[in-house]
Amino acid sequence: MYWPNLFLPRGAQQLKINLNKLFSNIESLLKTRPCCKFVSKPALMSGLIKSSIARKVVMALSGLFLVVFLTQHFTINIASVLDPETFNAWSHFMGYNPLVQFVLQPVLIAGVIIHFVMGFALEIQNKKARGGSYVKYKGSANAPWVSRNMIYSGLVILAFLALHFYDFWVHEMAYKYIEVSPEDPTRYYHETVEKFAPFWRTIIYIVSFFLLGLHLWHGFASSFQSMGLNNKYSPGIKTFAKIFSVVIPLGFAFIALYHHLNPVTH
Amino acid sequence: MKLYLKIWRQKDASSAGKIVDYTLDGVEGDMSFLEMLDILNEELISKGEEPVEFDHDCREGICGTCSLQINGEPHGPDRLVTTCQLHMRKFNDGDTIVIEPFRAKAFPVIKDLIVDRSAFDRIQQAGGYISVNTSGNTVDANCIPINKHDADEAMDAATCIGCGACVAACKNASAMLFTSAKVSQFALLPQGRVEAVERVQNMVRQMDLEGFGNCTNTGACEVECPKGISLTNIARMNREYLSATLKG
Repeated sequence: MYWPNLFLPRGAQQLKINLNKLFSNIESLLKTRPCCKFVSKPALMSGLIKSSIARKVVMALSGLFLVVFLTQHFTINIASVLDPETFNAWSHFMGYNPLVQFVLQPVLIAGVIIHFVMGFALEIQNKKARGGSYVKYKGSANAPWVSRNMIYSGLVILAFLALHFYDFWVHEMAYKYIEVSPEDPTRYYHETVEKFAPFWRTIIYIVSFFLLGLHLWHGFASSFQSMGLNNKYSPGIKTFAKIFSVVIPLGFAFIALYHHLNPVTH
Repeated sequence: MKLYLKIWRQKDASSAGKIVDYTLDGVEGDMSFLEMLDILNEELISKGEEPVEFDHDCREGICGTCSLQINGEPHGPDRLVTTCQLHMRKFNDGDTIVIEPFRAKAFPVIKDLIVDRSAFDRIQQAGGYISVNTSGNTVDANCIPINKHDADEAMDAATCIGCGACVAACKNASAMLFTSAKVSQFALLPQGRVEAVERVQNMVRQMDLEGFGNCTNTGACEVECPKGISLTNIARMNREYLSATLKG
């Protein structure tokens, strides 16, 4: 960057020389120290989205968000075993509260989509990074099965989600927004229990919960590591995450089996 | 002892490779894995065949030159040792041993068992240093007091020899353990804090550019690392990166 060579008085000429020196110094600094270029805001933003660490953090945050959602979902579901009236009341609140329906529900769907789309994208990228495949690769020697097969447990959960959406969400949307049926705060318990009458659906749900457990066994604790948290609290967090990944899926499986074995008697 | 070796042979970077079977007799338990390969090569040379090319230098487990994926694991079945420090007593008479190069898109095979690991050098060059005035006014590093715990952790990170076993073991061929060790050894010390923001960003950017995979926290790298570099370094690098991004 140089100033145009105009006719200038003596003082201004000196100023021009000094400024040219300054600009060339800045230019050479930018050339020799690429880090100076890197700290500009736009470059940083694109770096955040493109970098491998940012992708890990996106997986971790969306995963943790889904863990929070699972906890809330489980709390409502267990009510269907303990007290059908409470279950009806909570389900009705979730189904008709505008904040839940028009804010939390789209956020949840976005969370699911981000988690699995990013998961697939990373898997494809990771497969490419290997280059040629090993003749013999002993993955079991250094890493647990669950951590190496998150894509498969994730795929089963995704397939389950399709069935689950068809079973409950599509039905709810049709009931409320297509058929525009009247509000009935007592319908939820019966509808839920009746869903578990077929043996095949109960089995599919239980198998999916088992794979959900495997996915959480690695994913829950792993999300803290991805966000840079590995300190004296980590053993405690890991233990909590492992208990969670056993108790919650086991609880969901219990609820499904309970309703299968205890059909509603009208 | 008698061993049945299945070794990856590849003429050059552009040729396709394949596994070739060799039978080697008279191997002793006190031999290192590389000495066993030396014996095989002596035999091949005496028969007029091309010897198996492999990387090695110090043979003391400190230079990071030797590699090899042995029976599906980098540096073989033993823990906390490099291939040169792996002894044949870890194998039994009649064993079949599969020997391959480390595999990653960022580590292209040059010949047989030798891979090009210069991607690691470029990551290091992107920020794995501190800028010090060496014109005669250099300040003694020991003038700055450093917490013993931090000094120890920095030293642990600095023991990384850059062999690439982490990449070879990782199912995603991720170089996170290597890069994080190199980031950590500076991040923990006051001298390294000066350029910490640029360092982590530039090194991670270079790591991504080289085509390494993404970390999925399987922990395989930590298990296979001959120097026992810990996963806490990866968490530290993630932390450094996030804080550098937010600060920038």
